[in-house]
Amino acid sequence: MKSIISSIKIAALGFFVLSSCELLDVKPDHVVPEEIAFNDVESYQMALNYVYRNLTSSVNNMQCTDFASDDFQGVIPGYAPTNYYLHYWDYQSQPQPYVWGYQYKLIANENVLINNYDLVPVGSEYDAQMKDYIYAQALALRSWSLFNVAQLYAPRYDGSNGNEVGIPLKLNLALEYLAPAPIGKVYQQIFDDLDKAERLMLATGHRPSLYDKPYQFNIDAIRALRARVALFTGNYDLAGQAAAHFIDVPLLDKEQYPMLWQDEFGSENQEIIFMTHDLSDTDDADLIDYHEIYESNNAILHNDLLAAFSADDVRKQSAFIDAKNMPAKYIIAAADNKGQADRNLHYKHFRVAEQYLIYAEAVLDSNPQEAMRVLNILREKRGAELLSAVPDKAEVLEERRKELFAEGLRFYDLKRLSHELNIVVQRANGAVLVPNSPLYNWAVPREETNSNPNYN
Amino acid sequence: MKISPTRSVLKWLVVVVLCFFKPVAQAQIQQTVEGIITDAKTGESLIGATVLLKNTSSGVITNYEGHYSFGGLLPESTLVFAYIGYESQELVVGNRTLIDVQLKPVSQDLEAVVVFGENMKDVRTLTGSVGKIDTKVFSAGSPAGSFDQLLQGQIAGLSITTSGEPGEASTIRIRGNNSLGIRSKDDVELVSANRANEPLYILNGTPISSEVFNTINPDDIVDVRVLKDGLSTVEYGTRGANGVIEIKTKRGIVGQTQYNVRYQHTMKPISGLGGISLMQSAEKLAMERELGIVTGLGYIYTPKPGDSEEEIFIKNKRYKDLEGVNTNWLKELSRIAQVKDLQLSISGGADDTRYYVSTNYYNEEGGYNNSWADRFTTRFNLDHNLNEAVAIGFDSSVGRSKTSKSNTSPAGLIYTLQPYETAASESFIARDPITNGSHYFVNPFDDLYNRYAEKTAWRVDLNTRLNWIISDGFNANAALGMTYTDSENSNVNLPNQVVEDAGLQKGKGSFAKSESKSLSSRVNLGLDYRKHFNNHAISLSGGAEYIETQSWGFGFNSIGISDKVDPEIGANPNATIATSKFRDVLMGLYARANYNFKSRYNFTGSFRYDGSSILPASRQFVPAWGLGAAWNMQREEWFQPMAVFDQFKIRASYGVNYNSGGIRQTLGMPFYDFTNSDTYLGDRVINLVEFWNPDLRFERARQWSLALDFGMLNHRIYGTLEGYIKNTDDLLATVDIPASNGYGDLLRNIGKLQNKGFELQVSAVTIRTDDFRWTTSLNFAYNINQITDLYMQDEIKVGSEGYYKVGEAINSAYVKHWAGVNPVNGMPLYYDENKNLVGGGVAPQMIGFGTYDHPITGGFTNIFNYGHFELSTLFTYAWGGVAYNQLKAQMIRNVKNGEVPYEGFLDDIWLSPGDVKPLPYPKFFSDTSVNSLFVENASYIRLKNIIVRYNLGEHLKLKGIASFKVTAQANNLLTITGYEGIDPEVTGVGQPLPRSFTLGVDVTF
Repeated sequence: MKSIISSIKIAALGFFVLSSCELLDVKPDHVVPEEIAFNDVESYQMALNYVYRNLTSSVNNMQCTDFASDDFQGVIPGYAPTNYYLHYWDYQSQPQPYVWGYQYKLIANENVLINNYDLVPVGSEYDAQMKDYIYAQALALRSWSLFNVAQLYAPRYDGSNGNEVGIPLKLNLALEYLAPAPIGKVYQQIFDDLDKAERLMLATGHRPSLYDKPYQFNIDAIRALRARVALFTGNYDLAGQAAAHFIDVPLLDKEQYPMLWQDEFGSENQEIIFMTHDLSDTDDADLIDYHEIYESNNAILHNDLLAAFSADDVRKQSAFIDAKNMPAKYIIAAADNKGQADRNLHYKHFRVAEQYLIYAEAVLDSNPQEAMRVLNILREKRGAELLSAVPDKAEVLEERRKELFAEGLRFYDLKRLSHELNIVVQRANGAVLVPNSPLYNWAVPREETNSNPNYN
Repeated sequence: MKISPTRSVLKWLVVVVLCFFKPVAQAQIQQTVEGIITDAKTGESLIGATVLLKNTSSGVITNYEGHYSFGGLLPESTLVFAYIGYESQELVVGNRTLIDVQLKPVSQDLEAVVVFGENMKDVRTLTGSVGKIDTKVFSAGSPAGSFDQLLQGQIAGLSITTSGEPGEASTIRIRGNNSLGIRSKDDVELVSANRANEPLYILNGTPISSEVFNTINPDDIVDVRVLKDGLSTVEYGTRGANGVIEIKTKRGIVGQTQYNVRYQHTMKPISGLGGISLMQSAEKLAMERELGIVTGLGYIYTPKPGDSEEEIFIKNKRYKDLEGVNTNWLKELSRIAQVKDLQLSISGGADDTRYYVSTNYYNEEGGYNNSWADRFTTRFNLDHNLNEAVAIGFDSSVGRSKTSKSNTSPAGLIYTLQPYETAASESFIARDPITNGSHYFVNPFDDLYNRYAEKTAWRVDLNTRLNWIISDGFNANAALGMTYTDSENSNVNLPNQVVEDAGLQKGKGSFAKSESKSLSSRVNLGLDYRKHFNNHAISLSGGAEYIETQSWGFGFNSIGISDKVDPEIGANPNATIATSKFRDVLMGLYARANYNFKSRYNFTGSFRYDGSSILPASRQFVPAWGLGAAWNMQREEWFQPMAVFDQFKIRASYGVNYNSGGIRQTLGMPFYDFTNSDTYLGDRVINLVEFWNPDLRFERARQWSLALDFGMLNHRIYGTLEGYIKNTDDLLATVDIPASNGYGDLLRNIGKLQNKGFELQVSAVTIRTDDFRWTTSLNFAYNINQITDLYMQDEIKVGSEGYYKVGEAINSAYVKHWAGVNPVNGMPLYYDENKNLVGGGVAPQMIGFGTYDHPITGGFTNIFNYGHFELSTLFTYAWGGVAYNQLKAQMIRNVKNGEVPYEGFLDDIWLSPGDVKPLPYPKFFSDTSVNSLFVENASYIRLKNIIVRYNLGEHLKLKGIASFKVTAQANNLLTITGYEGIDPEVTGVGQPLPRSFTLGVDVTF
């Protein structure tokens, strides 16, 4: 009898535990697990949209690298202390620059796409093409982010070295405590991913519409990025090959120069390779905080830079370079019918003119005449005096400085060429940035070193 | 050291006291006796005990404070004191006017004393640590927006940090802290890294969140129990590891219906800035001139080379004029605040039914116009015995609270206002919203009134209970409960055209509103069995509990509002919307067994098996358990020589508890958000909800306690001395993860922590004569903690100043080591680890400057009764911890922007080579990292309140009035501290805890 009772008890208890398990089986219904999130190509695209959306704010922090360059000769402390500290190459004082965190945030968003590629089913040929087209963009965008982090936070890689401590090579979305990979390995990954992205891009038959094209990191952007990375790693052959895709693309006439920035879809304007759509017209983003840069921080442009432009250079117009005003590269300037600059322009991350400059520099040693020819096309279109003799590297660099002012590339250029051209940057307080200075490698910020046992 | 007594206040109190302090005539033939009836064993007051005139039916009942008052007696009258489950006592009145009685329980330890189906005995106290806070604290304490403000200094080991804002909940910790306090991004407030360390709050059996504390009427609370050790919290399974606070509300008292009306009116004068005085005009102008602060009038009115004679004359004159203007901005922006508190209650019952009804209206003004809190609550409780075996109980309450405050405060604004500016000024030099991101309006009054947040919270509670005595010793009980809360937050930023015209988003104004609702339902089914044979007694109980919580959220945010309509409906078409929905389920099985031998030896075992839906299926269930034993040594024969002790009990317990705080389903695996209202090029975006940690486990606490409960000198002194060691493993903390993951922090099980300490709680009747009583209670807690393991790491850093290191305390100040000012160039100098001097950029942060938690905390209460007069005082104290003087740091950093520092600052700063000064040249002090210069000892002792109560009932001789009490009290009168900031209890930039003065009447009829 007792045993019957006890077995009933056990059964009752068992039933209770089982039924309680069922009661506890509560699935969250406000969020979606990854198997369901990525069970169609449309959602896969939405995850990519999120990457692009986050890219729109890049101008705010990538531009801070310019304050560490010789384009500015003074920044006062105050409103945006980060810029002040960067100007004096003090990377440890708080607040630290946000570039590291921002670029790795982008990488995480890109890894969402890369890691979940296998979950996305393809029902049709179109789906298959779109899936690869999306995936290729994510791969290429990740390469770009890795390149930016490596440029700032690792020693320079020029193809001959490669074992120096680089950056964490973050290829998975999940939590990792990565040791920094050797710099050679980082660039190998970047080039491999770009190759893969290009292959996939070519294999899919998908071609974006004319309107969508500059907003997508498509085949042109991949090649432009490859040219940029190759140039910065001293691989002139590759840089020249990649940039050669663009040197037949016509530049705007100098009268139409403002169109480059303000009329992205004008039929003559073919200079834009990749841009992000600014959000300030949707109430989602603040206007670029030009007060931060030009007024509160009292940034003063370097005299050398202002003096470098020839008299008729359209780029010298006060709308585009001015010690006191935000360049019109970024904002729709105040006009007769409105008193304030109240909107940002869509940010142009890759432009044809940069490819001209990369091409010219890449062929400078092997074919200086060709370099001169291409540079002169650019100079003519910008209203600058034409070169009468073959240029040297310093002149190419000077042209880059003028053309790409305030686009976040000058510090990278100094890092790669200051040794060769013996460029020394000096600050008002006596701080000096000499060629090959360790100050060219930004300190890895606290957000990484705080918690990563591989750093210390 | 500085002492800040308010002499006039003390004087005022003395006057009040003297007014009422007329000796009660003793020679009357008919006399009134009053006193308190307590449990002889524990010293707890007994509610509803009867006091009868012997051989008559005339009598009175003790109220919620255990107090009775019996008039019309003769010296030869004999009184009978009785309470169910206790031995009655008879006493002849004699010429005493004060008779306190301690009743001895007749029943065995484990026998139930059942009133309306509820066991009045808390068997947990036999072997566990359950601290109890009596009614009096809530009914006679200060009018409070939230009852938790009254808990401070009442229980050893219960630490309360209040913000001083109307209606805001405090931070509560039991037996030490598991959490790292980190200042939030704007460097203003100390915020906890997570809420994982909050105790569990239970209101009449149902779990509640601290966010609805301000919807509870403090006067409805009959007691608050604080479960501290590992054994007594086992019954709360996965939620008990940080301790439990049980709140019980009043039930009816059987007897004649009592009506009570109470009104209290409080005034809060404008408080100062504690230990800080602001720089006056003359010094400020001189400083602006000296430092070349270009926006400052002191600089502008400085003659420059090339100025004409007339210009120089005008500049000098203006400068001179301004030196004479000294605006007290705190006074300009603040107001004297009033607090009104009205309470009505009815309590009564007959035979098998009792009831309690109350309603309360409370309105508190803060220190400026937009700051206030408003509360309305009502409660109805009913108990009924259906027959001898079945009792049912029902309670319901509805509470609404509404609070408002500005996004800034007078204390936040005054540093941006010059002493030489006045309310009539039109420009304010340090308040340009176009160049300074943290300002919205130039005019400080606009900034104070045009940006505000309002919060409305509703709470509805329904609980029913059924007890059924199945047969002798067998009891079944069932409880069903439901709590619904609805809270609505609105946040208004009015537009500022000037700022908008400058192209800044913040000038457009914004309105955000969010509503969250939650419904928590609970079913609890239990069975218990008690048996007593010979010298043995056992009690067994077991049951199951099921709690389901559903919550919904909805909110929108709109930028750009029109000033032509009410901002709260002025949402623009581009509003972004957020919605949320959660459901979680907790289910638990529990069992408890007690065994008692001869009332000498007690053994308890307790077990709970909890499952929670917030963890992955494989790890959903965890077992919490505990064991305890107690030995009543005074019952041993050999103890007789030490008869000075009425009680001498040693108890020990061990318990394993869990804590799920902070864990969410979406933290365990990747989930994607398809509700993001953002778009890109018009297309939708999806994103990872949050970064996830697949290895999350519940935090586990294992606690040893060893305690001595003692009673001495014929029930004059009660006390508990207790030591504990609490080992927490799988400590849950939100810590930094490498930013290369794309996310900055994550909730993780980081390691092991040990809290240990001891507590002493003593309450004593220091003096008791026939008409005078002085009771004292003291509590003292000492707690230290140490990280014992950080799984595979030696140290973990969090943000800019959080630091965990094996072997160190959890909340250590982690700062740069200040070395002084370089006399050559006025730049700050720091020490590195090897005591070498280094500059700011490379100076390392280190520990060794104390911890932000006080190892010693406690309170000290004294109550004096003489006739109808009562005086009580409460001191609270904390010792041994440091605080970061955030205000001083901010002042110094912002001087160069034109903000106002403290008086005498100009003397403290380096100005020219060779100066040896404590502070650097302000221009070189913009680094926001934390610095040992601002770490200060924050020990304090504070006179929290003085309360005077006087019962006028007898003087007034109004028919039907049982008591007519008038009260006067003063709060936060005096603080003794060496801390040089605002207030040692207030972190960040704020105002000291406000002084307040209350007058009240309390009438029972």
